[in-house]
Amino acid sequence: MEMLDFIVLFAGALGVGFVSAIAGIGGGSLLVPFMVLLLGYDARVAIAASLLCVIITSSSAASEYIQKKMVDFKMALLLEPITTLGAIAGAHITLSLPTNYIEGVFGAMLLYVSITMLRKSLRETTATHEEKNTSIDDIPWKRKLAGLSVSFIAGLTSGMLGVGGGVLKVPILTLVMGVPIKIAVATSSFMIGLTAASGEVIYIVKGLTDPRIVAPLALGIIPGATLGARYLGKIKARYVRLVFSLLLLYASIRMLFSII
Amino acid sequence: MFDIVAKILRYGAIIGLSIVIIGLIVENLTNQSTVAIIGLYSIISIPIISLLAISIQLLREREYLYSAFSVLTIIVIITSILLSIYE
Repeated sequence: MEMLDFIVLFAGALGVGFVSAIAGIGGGSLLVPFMVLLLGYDARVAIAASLLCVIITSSSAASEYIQKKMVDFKMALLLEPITTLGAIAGAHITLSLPTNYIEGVFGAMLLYVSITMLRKSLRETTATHEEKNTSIDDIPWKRKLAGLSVSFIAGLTSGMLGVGGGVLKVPILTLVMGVPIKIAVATSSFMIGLTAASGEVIYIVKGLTDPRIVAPLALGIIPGATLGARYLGKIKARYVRLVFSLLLLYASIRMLFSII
Repeated sequence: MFDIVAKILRYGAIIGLSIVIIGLIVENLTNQSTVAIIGLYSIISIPIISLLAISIQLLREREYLYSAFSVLTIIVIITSILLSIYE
């Protein structure tokens, strides 16, 4: 690998970390299109590198949340076995699909993320509602089963596309399991590392994870996210979200067209 | 109570990434990628080790059901690794 490649990957990851912290989305949703569309990497290599970065970033975030006692371990442990199975299945699906199909599926996921981001930036919500924490033992089994089913899909998305899957995990925890949003974000952050690790194992065993790609990405994404979190109050997050949702929309359409 | 888990996650990520970087330097000097690969495996083992620590903590608290869930997750991951290797 050339020094220039190292610098480009490092600088790109720095930007991705910065933007994802401000826009409130996982780094994987930006990292994979950056590597595939701008740098021309194979989608599988980009997904493998992205998953490893997801493990590193979520480990740092989860350690903070655990110290603040915000992680609901019981909830995470209830959902994690099935999420792990999903991630493993997702990684195997990616390995068996042709590259253009993977890009197409990623494009569809990106389309969902960009539309969600666009809607969020267009109508700034100020309404807050009182949330009370539901004990895991009080949740009826019907809701637990619904949570487990969506968790499998969250794991599948993570292993297949190299993203954390927080975009599905947080809604499962808040809407299905009745967990308050802050606890849901913290618990999801802990779960994301585990899910990503179970998917990443497959990519490493198959030789798709290149440490020469992972190192500059990981070195860039951590300070980028830290900087983003620091500037969060100073920059109008709404406008950043708006600009990047449009950029993601464009990237998703380009990736969707790769199927044709 | 779960402070050890927080420490495993924080320092594990730093140590794993450091091993990858040392591995890349070694690879440049000797053309051997073993250390970098060990670094990759150590990064993915961080959440799994933290899960093991949680499982032990839950056992000490007599929360057998949730301890079993964490062991089940570890078994799923290990089985998947073995199946991928021997595929």
